[in-house]
Amino acid sequence: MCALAGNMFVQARPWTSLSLVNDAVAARRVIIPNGTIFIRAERVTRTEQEQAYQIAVRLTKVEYERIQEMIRAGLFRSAADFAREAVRDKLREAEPLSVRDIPRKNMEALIDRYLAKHPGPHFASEIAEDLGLDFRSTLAAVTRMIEKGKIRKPRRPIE
Amino acid sequence: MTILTDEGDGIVGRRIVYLARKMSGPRLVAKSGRHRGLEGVLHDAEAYIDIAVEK
Repeated sequence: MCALAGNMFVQARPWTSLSLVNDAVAARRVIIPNGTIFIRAERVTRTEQEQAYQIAVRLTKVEYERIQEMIRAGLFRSAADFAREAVRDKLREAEPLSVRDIPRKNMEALIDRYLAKHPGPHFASEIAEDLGLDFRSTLAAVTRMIEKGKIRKPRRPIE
Repeated sequence: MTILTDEGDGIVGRRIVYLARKMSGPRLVAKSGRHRGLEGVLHDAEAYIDIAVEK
């Protein structure tokens, strides 16, 4: 099902269009005011366990055009892809991160166990994030462990 | 580890980790052809070049 909004063409997947299909006034084409990404917000059932939600967002012309620029630049596949990324970024940002403060020896043992459990090269920031450690302390611990020969820099750079 | 604190000092790395009080941006900078990237400002920040390690 497709919807035409000014110069914006919204391609909706079948599961996103249930509300329009079920509407008494359902039509193949719907005119949406300029700047509206989707006409309504509602919960749509995908499967019995998994549910998807839609939120209508009204944007200014400038905002809309900037999103289109980024899509043309290849940073996002679509406006929906941009919106999804933006929401996830904001949610991630708003999530408070508490880091563990643990003694130096324990930290080295923890990193050692992590690398044994997860073979292959890893960035110190990934290790810090996965173990819930402070990045500065992790970086210092990793540097010490390299000096001691407990771990090494990867032979090939991480792609 | 070298710590640079003078104005105008630079840091270049494949993967840089930062800790900051506040962040402005990032915004897309389009230069020529395929040269494009993101730029932004970190306020009261420190940044480190990430280290890749393996066992």
